[in-house]
Amino acid sequence: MLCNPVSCYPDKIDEMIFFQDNSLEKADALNHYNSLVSQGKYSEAGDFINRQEEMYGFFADFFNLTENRIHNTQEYLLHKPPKKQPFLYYDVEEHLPADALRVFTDTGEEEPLSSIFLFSSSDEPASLDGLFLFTGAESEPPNADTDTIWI
Amino acid sequence: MAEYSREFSNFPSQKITKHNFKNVDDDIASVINQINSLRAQGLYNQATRIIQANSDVLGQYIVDAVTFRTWEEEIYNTQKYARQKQQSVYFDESEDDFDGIEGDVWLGGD
Repeated sequence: MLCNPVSCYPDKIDEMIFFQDNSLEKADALNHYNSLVSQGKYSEAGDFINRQEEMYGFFADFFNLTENRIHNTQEYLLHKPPKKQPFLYYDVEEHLPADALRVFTDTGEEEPLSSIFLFSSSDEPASLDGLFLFTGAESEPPNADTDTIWI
Repeated sequence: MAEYSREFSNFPSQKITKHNFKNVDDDIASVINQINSLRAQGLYNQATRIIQANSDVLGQYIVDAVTFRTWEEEIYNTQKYARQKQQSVYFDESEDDFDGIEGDVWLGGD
């Protein structure tokens, strides 16, 4: 076989062909091929050349190799995901829910959170559900990944 | 960014059309011999007419300027599409030096 026309891309990078003029060592084989062609023995010439190794020329294998590589590269690109919008504007202060709060007495004993009551301005007891502790630090966007530019 | 070249290639709307080339064999020998004979006599116009009349069967056997132009254009369009598909980040002080396209990222300025 002159060269393998099958493209393996993108599973692996196709090997370079390094297309070149044939060396003098191949002269006899090439002359024999040209002789068969000039006699109109095309199929015999094709069979002969396909059995040669390290032979270069404008043969079907090389042309098919070129088209197969272009085709596979195009196929690969068409299946790439679209560009992402990398910018993310996010301005939220880091905060914790109220149950992360720990209260200690002056003797160092931890008070259960249930013993703490919040009162509204009208002295009505209020729920702790809406209570958050703010740390003063900027909070990281929840949907950011390594490709995100967080502003 | 310039548009795709559309003389021979339809990428990315359509991938390259593969010829599945064949080396000349005995099946096509009579036509090839006829063409070669006309060329040898300098009868290039007649040879061209034979080629055109048999273009459907000769397509797998002949590589000509159109083939190479097609490949060149397919590669050109593929490179252009790949560059648009890949998001790049550019670090340039001046926006004038920024060579990106829509969706790319420029980091620079004062």
